[in-house]
Amino acid sequence: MSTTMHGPTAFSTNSSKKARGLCATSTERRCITNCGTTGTSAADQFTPAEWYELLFKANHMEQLITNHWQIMGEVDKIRTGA
Amino acid sequence: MKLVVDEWGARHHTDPSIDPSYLWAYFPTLRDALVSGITLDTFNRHADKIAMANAAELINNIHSSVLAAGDWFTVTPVYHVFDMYAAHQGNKSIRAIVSAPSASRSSQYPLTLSGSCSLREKRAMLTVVNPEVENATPATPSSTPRRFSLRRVII
Repeated sequence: MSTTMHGPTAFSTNSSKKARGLCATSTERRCITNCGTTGTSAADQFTPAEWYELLFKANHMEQLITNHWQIMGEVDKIRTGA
Repeated sequence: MKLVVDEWGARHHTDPSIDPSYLWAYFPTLRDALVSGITLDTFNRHADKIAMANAAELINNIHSSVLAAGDWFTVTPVYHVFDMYAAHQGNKSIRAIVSAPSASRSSQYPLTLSGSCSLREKRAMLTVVNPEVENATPATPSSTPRRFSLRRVII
């Protein structure tokens, strides 16, 4: 079974044999995040405000990692020493 | 247990001048390059938490590093960021604190300098992203405690 959610806070658990072998192992969790676009959605047409908006969205990765790490820590037996 | 960031990057719409068979293809700009720098610095700062992180995608797609069509081939601004940040590879991530006033003129999207640092033997690699759309931001690197003598700084 493979479940993948897209979005700014997407987080997936992949338990298929293929995925275990090629990507996410039993000690890894997968996360997909794109910081999206702004305004007209054109890569080369943006205002200064939209410049800052996209970079601000890119900064979201910091919080995404920190939050997921905190949640993963609740079940990570190695980290918790359980 | 570590985190795999399957796919990251800006996701703009397909550029109308590009054959629609190239799914989500567009021409990345300097703005997308800074997205790369901010994100790669974030990964560096959390190197203890991340097992793998993959930009989406490599060619003719989302956040691409290279564009190709027929006999034509070119690298994008995103590629140049990866080229610069390659010096972090194989290094040990060390704590970096970047302190600066808000560089963003937008109160809605507060931003400031961000960066990361890594170490290999006696050589430190420091990368910093200035999000300011127009102006340069003066920056002075320092080391505390003074493990490194910053005799030679390449910016």
